[in-house]
Amino acid sequence: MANKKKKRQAQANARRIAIAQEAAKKARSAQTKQSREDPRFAAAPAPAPDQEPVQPAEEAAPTQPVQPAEEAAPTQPDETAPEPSGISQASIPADQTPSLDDDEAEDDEVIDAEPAVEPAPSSHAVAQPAGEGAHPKISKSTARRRLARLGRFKMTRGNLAAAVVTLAIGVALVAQVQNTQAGDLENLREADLVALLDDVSDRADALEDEVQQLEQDKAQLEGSDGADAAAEAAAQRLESYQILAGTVPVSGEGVTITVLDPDGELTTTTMIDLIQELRDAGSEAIQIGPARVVASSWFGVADGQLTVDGITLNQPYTVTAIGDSHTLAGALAIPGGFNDSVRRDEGDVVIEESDVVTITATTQPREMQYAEPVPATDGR
Amino acid sequence: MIPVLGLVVGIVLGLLLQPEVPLFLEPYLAIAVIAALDAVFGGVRASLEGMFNDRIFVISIASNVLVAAVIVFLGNQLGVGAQLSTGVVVVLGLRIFSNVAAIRRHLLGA
Repeated sequence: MANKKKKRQAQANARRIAIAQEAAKKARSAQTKQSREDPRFAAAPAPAPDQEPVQPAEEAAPTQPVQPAEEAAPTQPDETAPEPSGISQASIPADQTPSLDDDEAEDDEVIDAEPAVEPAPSSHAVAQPAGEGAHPKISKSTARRRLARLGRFKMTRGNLAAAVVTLAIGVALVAQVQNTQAGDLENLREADLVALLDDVSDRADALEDEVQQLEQDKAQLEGSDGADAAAEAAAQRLESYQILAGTVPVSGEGVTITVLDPDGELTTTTMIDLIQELRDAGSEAIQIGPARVVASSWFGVADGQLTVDGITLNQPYTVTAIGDSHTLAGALAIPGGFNDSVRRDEGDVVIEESDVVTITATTQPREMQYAEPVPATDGR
Repeated sequence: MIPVLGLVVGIVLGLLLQPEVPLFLEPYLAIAVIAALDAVFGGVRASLEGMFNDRIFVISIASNVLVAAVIVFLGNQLGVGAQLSTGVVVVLGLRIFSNVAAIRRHLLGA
């Protein structure tokens, strides 16, 4: 008999089991609660042998019959009748199916009936507001009815308490939101402030490094400016040296002196006096006849004729000097000076001041054969 | 209905009075608000399940706020305030989600 049942059961597919388990699970709470009161529920379960397997199906692990249920198929293939599928011996008997269907139907009824029973659980089942514990099953209509009841304006203690709480929440919410939107450093936590400070000081360090770098660059650029200035000064020095050395033609304000010496009485001394007076008066460049007068110039006499640096001077002697023309002219005109000397020798001097005179004569510096610069000493 | 009115009145009051949040309360206010919100959603859910109890509601809201503040305070003292605040917010957020989900299931069946 049992074997026959098993066989039939084996042919029933897994779906049934699944249904049975789910239905049983649903029914469990209702079953435990109401099995005593509800006569229909009490009547529904099959007689003991049928009832027995339901338990393992529902509660899976601990009860004895379940153990074989899981392991029977693989371990005891010989004992059991040929089984097409691996369904165990202890599975749900066939005639339980209707009873399970009953359970399912019952389940719905129980749920519908629940609102009537509601006061009882609500009074003692102190489920917390938060989602702990089991989820009570409530139909949509019930929930909506309750929601509508929540919406009613009713001065219950719960409503008032909730109103006080929500009022506090509203104030706190607005305060916090506005506080956050104010968004100053005040709101930040200490750790955040420290992080912010670190960030800022890191940035300050980086910027300071950058400043130093830029300052260095600036100094370098200024140094190169200095080099430019030095180059400019060098160029100026070169220019003045060129003028002094007489290697370049020059022009500028100055005087042109024409000296007539019909008797040939002028001596080298007189010419040296002339050069001395002109230099004393600040002349910068002097040309006598075709010769440029420089530091190394010398006067001589050759064949009764005056020479400068070996170049013979022809009458009338023309002397061009660049400098302040009044000063130069004045210097020559002082009593007992050059003019007087020439005239005493029965010559004549004509001095012509002009804004621009040109000295075209140049001279090439000699190769120094003996003199060598002495390296500058520390004392200088 | 009255609680909703309370919320509206509270927001209006907050906007009108512009309450200054004391400095020492600042780290806790946000957490407290979230904890209270959690309790409110829990209360709505309990109402839908027919289990609302004003005493439990008030006590749970107070204890939630208190515990959240204590956790944050402790975290600040231990130097892990930011992390604990995050933890509290995550937990409360989860609870709000589960409460809202329960409410949704009750009302919409989905």
